[in-house]
Amino acid sequence: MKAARRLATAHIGVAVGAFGIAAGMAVMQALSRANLDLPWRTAKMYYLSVTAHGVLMALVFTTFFIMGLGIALTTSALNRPLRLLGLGWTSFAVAVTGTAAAAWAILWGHATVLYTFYPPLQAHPAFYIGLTLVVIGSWLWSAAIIATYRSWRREHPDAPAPLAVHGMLATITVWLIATVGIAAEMLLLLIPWSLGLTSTVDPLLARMLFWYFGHPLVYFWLLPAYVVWYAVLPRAAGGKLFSDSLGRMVFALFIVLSTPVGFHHQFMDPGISAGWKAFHAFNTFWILFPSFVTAFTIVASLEVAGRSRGATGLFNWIAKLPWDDPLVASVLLSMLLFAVGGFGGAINASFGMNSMVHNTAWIQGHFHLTVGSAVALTFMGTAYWLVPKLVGRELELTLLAKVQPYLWFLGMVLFSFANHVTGLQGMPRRVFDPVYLGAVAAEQWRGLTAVSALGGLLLFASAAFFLLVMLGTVVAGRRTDAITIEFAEPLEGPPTARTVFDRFGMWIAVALVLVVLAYAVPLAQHLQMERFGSTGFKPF
Amino acid sequence: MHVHRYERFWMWGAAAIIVLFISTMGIGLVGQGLHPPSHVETIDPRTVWTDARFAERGVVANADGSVTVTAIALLFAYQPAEIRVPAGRRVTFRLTSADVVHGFQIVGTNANTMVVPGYVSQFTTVFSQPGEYLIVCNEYCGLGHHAMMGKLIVEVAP
Amino acid sequence: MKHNDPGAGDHPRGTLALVTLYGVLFVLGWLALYFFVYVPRGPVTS
Repeated sequence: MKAARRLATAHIGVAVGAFGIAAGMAVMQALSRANLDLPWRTAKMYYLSVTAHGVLMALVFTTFFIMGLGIALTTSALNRPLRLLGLGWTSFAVAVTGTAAAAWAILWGHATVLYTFYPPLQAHPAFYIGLTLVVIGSWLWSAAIIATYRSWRREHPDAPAPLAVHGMLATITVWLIATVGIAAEMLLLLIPWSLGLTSTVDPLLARMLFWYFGHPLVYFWLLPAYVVWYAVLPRAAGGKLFSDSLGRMVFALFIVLSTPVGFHHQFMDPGISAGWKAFHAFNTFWILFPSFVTAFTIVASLEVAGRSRGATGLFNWIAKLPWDDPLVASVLLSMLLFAVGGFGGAINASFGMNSMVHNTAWIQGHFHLTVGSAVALTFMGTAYWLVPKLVGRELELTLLAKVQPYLWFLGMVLFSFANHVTGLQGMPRRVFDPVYLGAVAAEQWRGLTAVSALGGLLLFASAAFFLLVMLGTVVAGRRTDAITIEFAEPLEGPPTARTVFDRFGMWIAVALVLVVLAYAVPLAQHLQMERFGSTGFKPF
Repeated sequence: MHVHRYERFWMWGAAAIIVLFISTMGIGLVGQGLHPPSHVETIDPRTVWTDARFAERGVVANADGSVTVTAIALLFAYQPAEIRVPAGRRVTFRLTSADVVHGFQIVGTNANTMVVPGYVSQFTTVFSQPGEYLIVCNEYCGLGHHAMMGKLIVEVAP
Repeated sequence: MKHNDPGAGDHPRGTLALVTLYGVLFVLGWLALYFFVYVPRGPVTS
């Protein structure tokens, strides 16, 4: 198990390092968008930092943290070492190599294409190859986790998998289905094109493959956070999980609903019919359901915890929760922020109404509440809980750890409010300078861009606190033997038999059928159209 | 599997909320034809400037009183950059890109579409309020992305 | 349904109140944006 802890620590170390660099990029962007004329401030630096921030936060920090968390939770819950440990280290090496290649391309100015890298914008081949290696690393990691699970399954043919493992397996299932799309985009389209082996690429086909992957990507991020909410938080808050079986249902539903929805990121694209967009919109709305259920189950679990400390009124159990515990505070605050983020997501999904918000600042407001809070803030809190157990040292600088989530919350409230409003007022996303030669419409955005910048500064301070706590803990934390991971227990007692929600084979089959229904015909129709590809452009 | 009464109530409520949203969208689609711009038409991005569909750009009045606007998005401008249309009349936009993916959003309206090289974007809307509107590119297209803008002038129809 | 923890109370009333409030706000917010922002701006057809 020591080997698994070391491997998990390595992954989380890379995740935290990427987070740190990305946080530095972020503060530069926030200040830039508020028109503060600081020395480094050029369009070139701005768009480079947007690319670096997006790739490091959304693709590196998340993936490495999830891999580390998965290794730690799976080996703990199944009480065995990681199988295929060599493969686990190989996956780490492959992913780190890929990250280094992509990071070099970005930081040296050869890949200012943002983390969505839509062609015909064309980056250096190292960018595409690097990101592909990160995905391949994650596939190898998936194999090691699955092998570990299967060795446990052979010894326990009838037992339900621990909920944390069920959730990680759901995460891996979603990911393996999703990454088919990005692998196809990279291997068939972008890598040969960037190497000069092919001369043109169909930008719409690339976007279809990217967003086939891009939506389930957010569930690859969210489901591990949900694992923490379901399987760790209730115990940390002093209570029990309100319903283990509904938790399993939620993970199973995400397996089915995560992928057949990608066109909701392409509502404004030409070349895709309204009928297919409507079908994807219909599927998308149902994804609200497992998250609505999660809201009830987790809040009820917290109510159990609060009432067990003697609260009797309708709401005063909330105050009785351990808000001074860094993990609990992080998760609770991330849930509050996610509540707003989920609402924004419903607006984004609303078909024609998407035109009100598409590619405006609303979008960055939205995803900082979701991946930036539900996921990132949960992950930071999880790190406070997990890293001491991985490295055998107590948490250092605990005051910073207690304050950090609240600082993030405050910064995020300012940042997301400002961006949601300016987005409704039409301010585009991803712009260096929203002045537009003094246009009247642009004047309207000014006050709120300053609010957004202030939010960004608070977020940066919060990120700095997090990094200091991590560094302090690893370097100077007091040595401890308290390294056992303890999972939350369900209120009704541990499940004794497998249910329909444990039958992965069935859920995977349903997921694949829906994916075929959602994508086979539109993709086939698209490939049969007479299409004209584009050569590469590097307007950076 | 036992589900607590309260949670079951909430789950039905959640499903009802989702059905409400889907129904509203559905009624809008079926009743008024409200849907995002979804025109399917391809074009060779290398020859857009001389293609018969885009060689003449700008505003053209149609026999039925409606108006068609034809424009090309490029790094980092729209051609034409200034577009004049009548208020209260149906305006159809036809757009394509000469190079990378751009956006086309008329700030303060629902006119918002991707402009993808190799494809023609087309949508129809009505501008009821006269005035000047800022057009912005809202899809990152390079170092001049934030400078890519146009102007829509909605005039009282004669 | 059995609860192993006697101090828990059997019914999460606070939770029901909170999520119901959230659901109501969610729907009102969506309808507000739909009828007060999206529709007045002139929906687009194709």
